[in-house]
Amino acid sequence: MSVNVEKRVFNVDEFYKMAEVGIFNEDDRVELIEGEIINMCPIGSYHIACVNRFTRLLVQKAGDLAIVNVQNPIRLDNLSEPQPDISLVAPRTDFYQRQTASASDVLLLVEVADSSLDFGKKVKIPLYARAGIPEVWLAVLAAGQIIVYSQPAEGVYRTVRILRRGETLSPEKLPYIEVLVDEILGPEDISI
Amino acid sequence: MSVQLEKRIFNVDEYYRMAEAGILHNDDRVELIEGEVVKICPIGSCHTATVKGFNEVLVPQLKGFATVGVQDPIRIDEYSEPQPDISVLNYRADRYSGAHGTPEDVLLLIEVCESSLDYDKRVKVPLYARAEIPEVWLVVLSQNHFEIYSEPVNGVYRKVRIASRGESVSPERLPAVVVTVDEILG
Repeated sequence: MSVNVEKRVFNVDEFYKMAEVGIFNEDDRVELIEGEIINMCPIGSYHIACVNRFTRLLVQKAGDLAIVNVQNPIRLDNLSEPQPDISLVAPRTDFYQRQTASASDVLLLVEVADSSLDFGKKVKIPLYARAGIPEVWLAVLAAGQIIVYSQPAEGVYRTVRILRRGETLSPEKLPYIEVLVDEILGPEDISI
Repeated sequence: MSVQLEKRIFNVDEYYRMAEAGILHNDDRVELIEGEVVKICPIGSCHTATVKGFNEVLVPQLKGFATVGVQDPIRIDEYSEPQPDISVLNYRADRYSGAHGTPEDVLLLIEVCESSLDYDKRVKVPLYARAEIPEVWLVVLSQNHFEIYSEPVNGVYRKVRIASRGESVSPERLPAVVVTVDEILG
């Protein structure tokens, strides 16, 4: 589609209204990204396993100091409400019942990408940087890597590190949590 | 946004439901093109003058032979409902009060292009060709000419010609109707 025609973007209220009035049905796995409604990619079993491993480890290690939010929406602004694979958000007694977690609640986001060619995930990194999400871990399954983006400033992450098997991850906001890359990627002989 | 993200496209029913639910409102000038809700470019006075030109010159010749829509929706298919500047449809006494015109009803579509030229050529003309709209006139204001597309076959117009000032044009389906480029461009 050409660039000289403007799409009608939708804000979060309009996005929710679409769900309310049945424009989206149960089979729709969608997220709102910069005012556009995006179909979420179907995910494979390695992706699922990776999210499961992260979930278990992070729940165990975060304890009461963070809530582990799995494939739940994060309200970044009026036009974006992505559903990252995992978000660690600040503890709240209501578990975010009153309000969807917003960018300022996020301590760490985790996205799992099947390959480094998963542009969807790459497109979201700048979005997270602009929203000031302090840290994103992007697990790139095909490469056996976890890319760590941190220190967002002026819409970009100033620090990007690539971690491989044998290395250890630790979120800047939750430094007491340590996770081994291998614990996330699982046994090498069954990866991809 | 990157092209690699797969957009959730909308069908015409969903599009109308957006309007009913107040998600799209009266001041939204939009059309549905291949499942995407796109804004209709704000139109300048040259554009509106050209549409008025067609109203004056073309429309009187069609009385009784065709029903003419100005910036009305045409239901192309389940995912597209553009609003061409002029749609010349098979004559119907009920003026299509029961349903919007569909490709089978269309004799000629006219789009006036200012800033939208690139989009009209890349997206709309192929869309009309696939729908077998028999003829499309793009009025290219910046070039002072018409681009005339006709004979749609397998999703493309086999015949494309340019009519410049000094020339006259007739729709293939309505050969008795004649307009000159000068009358329209003023």
